[in-house]
Amino acid sequence: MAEEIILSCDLNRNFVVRGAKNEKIVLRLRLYTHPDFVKAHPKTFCDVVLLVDTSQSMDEPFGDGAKLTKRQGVMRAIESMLPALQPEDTFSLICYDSSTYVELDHAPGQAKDRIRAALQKIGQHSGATNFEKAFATTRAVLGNGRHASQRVCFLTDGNATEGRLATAHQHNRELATAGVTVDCLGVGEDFNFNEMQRFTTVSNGRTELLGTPDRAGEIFTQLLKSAQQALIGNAVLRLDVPAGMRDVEIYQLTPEVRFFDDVKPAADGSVHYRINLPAITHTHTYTYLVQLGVDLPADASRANLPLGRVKLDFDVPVKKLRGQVLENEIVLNLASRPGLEISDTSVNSDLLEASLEKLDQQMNQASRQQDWLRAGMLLHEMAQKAHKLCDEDKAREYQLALKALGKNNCLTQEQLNKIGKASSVSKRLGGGEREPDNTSDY
Amino acid sequence: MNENDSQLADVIDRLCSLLGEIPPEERAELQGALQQRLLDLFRVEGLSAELAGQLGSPLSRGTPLDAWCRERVAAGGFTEEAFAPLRTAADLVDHSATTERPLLAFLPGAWRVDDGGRLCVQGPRFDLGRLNPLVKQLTEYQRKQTKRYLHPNLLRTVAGADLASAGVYSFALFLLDVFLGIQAPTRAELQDALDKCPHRPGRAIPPDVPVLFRQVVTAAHNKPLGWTCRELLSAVLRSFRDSPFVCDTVVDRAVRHAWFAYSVQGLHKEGGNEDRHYTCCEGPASLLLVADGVSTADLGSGAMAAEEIVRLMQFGHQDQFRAAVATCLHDPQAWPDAAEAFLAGLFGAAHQQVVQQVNLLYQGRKENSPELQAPMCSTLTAAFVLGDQALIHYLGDSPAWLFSPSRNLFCKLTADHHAGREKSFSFELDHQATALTRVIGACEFSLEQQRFVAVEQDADRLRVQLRSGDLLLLASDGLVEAIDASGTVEKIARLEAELRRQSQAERDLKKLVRKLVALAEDGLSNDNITLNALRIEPKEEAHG
Repeated sequence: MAEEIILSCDLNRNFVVRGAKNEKIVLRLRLYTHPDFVKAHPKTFCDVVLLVDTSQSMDEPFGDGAKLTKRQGVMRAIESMLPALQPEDTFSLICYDSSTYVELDHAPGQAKDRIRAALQKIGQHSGATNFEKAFATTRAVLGNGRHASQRVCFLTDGNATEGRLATAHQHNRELATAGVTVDCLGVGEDFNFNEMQRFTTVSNGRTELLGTPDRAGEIFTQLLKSAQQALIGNAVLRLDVPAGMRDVEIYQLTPEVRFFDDVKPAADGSVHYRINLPAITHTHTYTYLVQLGVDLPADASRANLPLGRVKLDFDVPVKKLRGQVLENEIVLNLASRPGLEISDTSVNSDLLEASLEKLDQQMNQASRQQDWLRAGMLLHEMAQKAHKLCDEDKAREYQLALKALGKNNCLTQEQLNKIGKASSVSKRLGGGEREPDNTSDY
Repeated sequence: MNENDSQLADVIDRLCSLLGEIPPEERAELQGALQQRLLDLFRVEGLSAELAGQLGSPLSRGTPLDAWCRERVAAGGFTEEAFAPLRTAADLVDHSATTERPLLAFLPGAWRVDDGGRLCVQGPRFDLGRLNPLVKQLTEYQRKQTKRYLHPNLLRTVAGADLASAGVYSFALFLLDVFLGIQAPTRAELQDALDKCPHRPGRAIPPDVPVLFRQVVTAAHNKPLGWTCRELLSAVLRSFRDSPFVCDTVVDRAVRHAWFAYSVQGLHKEGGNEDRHYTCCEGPASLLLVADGVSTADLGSGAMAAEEIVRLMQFGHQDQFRAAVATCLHDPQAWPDAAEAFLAGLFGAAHQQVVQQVNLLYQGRKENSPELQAPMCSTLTAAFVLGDQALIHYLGDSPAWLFSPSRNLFCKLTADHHAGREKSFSFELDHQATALTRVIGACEFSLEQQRFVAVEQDADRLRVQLRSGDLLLLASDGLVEAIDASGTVEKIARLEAELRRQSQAERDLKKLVRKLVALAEDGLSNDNITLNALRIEPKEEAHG
């Protein structure tokens, strides 16, 4: 195993009895920078590109009742992250609306006055929204990058109104392939979280809605710091699952929960999937979960069953190492009789947590189709799962969303009762006061 | 010189000999210096003089802290003094939370109690559970050694975590193990074990202790918990001391009871009110009962089943109740056996009565396949209260609650007989988790006898110590379920807040009960709501 990075593999079950059919096996992969390596290289330097929407809608208020406009809020938030810039970092600012404007191109982190002056330009542009041009310009600017850790903060308040979105996605994929992480930050109610997540998924960036200017400042600073903490770059995690496995599902649990809904088997039934990790931040563990349906061989001569192979290609810029490889064969041991099975329930717990993301995607789809009953049932299931996982904040959030469906007349009280397995509805008796049906006194 | 000292002396001798020829006059000085140096190596660094003064030698063998605690728990007597070494450990964890190197994992192996009752902690093993401030993440060795004792989210990242809460979480895992015997690798399994621990035979767990631990287990790892280890330990000890399940040997018969019952149909509940209640009083004794008929019946109805139970009590068992009370009054030693016998008899008779009625109904509907007909049944919770003690028997999910202002306690005494609670844990969602497993009227159709035959039901029993001002609440599940809040925890919190507020403002039990029922009735109101309440009256205000 490489000394810079650790890749650990755990199975939820092992020593499963031979001959069992359609057994659900979950594999957990954990990837993190080796703490000793981190100790030796506590910081690295980065190229940060801020890609800021300057369309007309940025002049609307930052939020309900906010005094600042989105544009002013964003400028303030960017300014608040400047103290965290290291002198060796570089900072680029690209404004985009119908056109793009490169206001700063790799300014050194110490040139704070120059950066502040450039930020004022955010207030001077206006127009429609063209993601295609924005990403094309970003690619061109990052062509002059100096550092191994390259980060784009893509900031928008809505959807593209000009240009081809497919081409923007193509540029985004090229950026990911070149080792650039794209984070997507949204302001305002029109921010389409799921659409923006499509941009960040390919490079494993973060998707965040900036609720307030202060929160926005915090997130900008966190993103910058995480870029400065990326010792491993340009990594690609490859999962190869042989033919014969059923219902392969892949999730990412940390640093951000994701369900990879584009996992498709090849013609022979095998699954080959790659995940780009342009920058592996040393403060996070990257956790992936792979769920498989497996028929176990009954053949007594076989001691185990190969479930797949995991391969990580990566660079270590601080050591000037490129094309490093880490590989692991995943094998399920077989048992001759029941009762020998070993289980690791923490893997099941992680899968349950990650699977909330899949339900969330399904719920969003149901909402888009205005299939409110299905959306409600999914929310109820999500609340139950979150409760099981002891995540009461999330459980409450889902419950409130379910209640909101009732309040907004998307669901009737009867439907809500059925979803919650409560009793059915009856009309208020006479609409007025009722006598208790039995009382006793002392 | 004890064994540890002699071992230490051996090591020092060996070190001295390695240093070559040393004049005798220097040897003693060197031995002293070496001993001090070795002790320093094993000490926890950065402690205040007060904390350090409470610790024994780090090299002391003593008894492992977990084993020592288990002995104390088994012995009872949950005073702070009796658990002084554990209190010192709690202080140490709390202290570490204020330093650059907070303790994230409380490793039981690092702690011992010496023969003098002083806590001993080995610095290097203590440090294994602490965060390295340079790296701000756990080392590989730490991950492996501490993962059983750590909040699972810290294995993903330490960034953003509330580190003080992480220490409390880990300390709570230790307390869970020594006080409740609960160990589990995931938070979901811990929660499940806490849900089930009132069902565990042989140990009367104070009802608020699982609730207390659930607050810690379910708290988000990135938010302040609002507890220190010391506060958590004190709360657990207090709960064990004030446990309502620990009863005095003698019943105080001079206390008087006030009671009132009230039942309404939920506004959004179809099919009439299937809840029934009953209360009667005989001298210093009272009997309270709540039956909640199960609505999904083909043979009969939930209301009929509940009605049968109440009718049986009204017309068939009042004399038995009076006789049981008379026995207890005549012979103080007869409590609680006479009450046990009465309640067991009542439950058995009610069970047979409901099944008998099911068979009568079946006689008229024989054309239908019996397997497809759900017989009527009902929950039943009954409390026989003599003076300041109550004996509760229950089947089903009609809860009994206790509100004790003098003990600052509001807790559910009963544990619902739900399928989810009686099954082993699974990560799969169980949609039948709230199906009732024990009810009055549970029966199976016998092909041989061509009739329904009662399936024996084992009622759970509780003996509860009441105090002046206490409210014993027997309710149907609708009292909580019909409250408008996002989850069960929030519903209970609303009920408690309302109860605390109203019990201060309202001396009239009648009004208090109506207001509590109104909380659910004005809320979701999707179930019937019944509350049968008994208050232990302060002696000067007692009703005759």
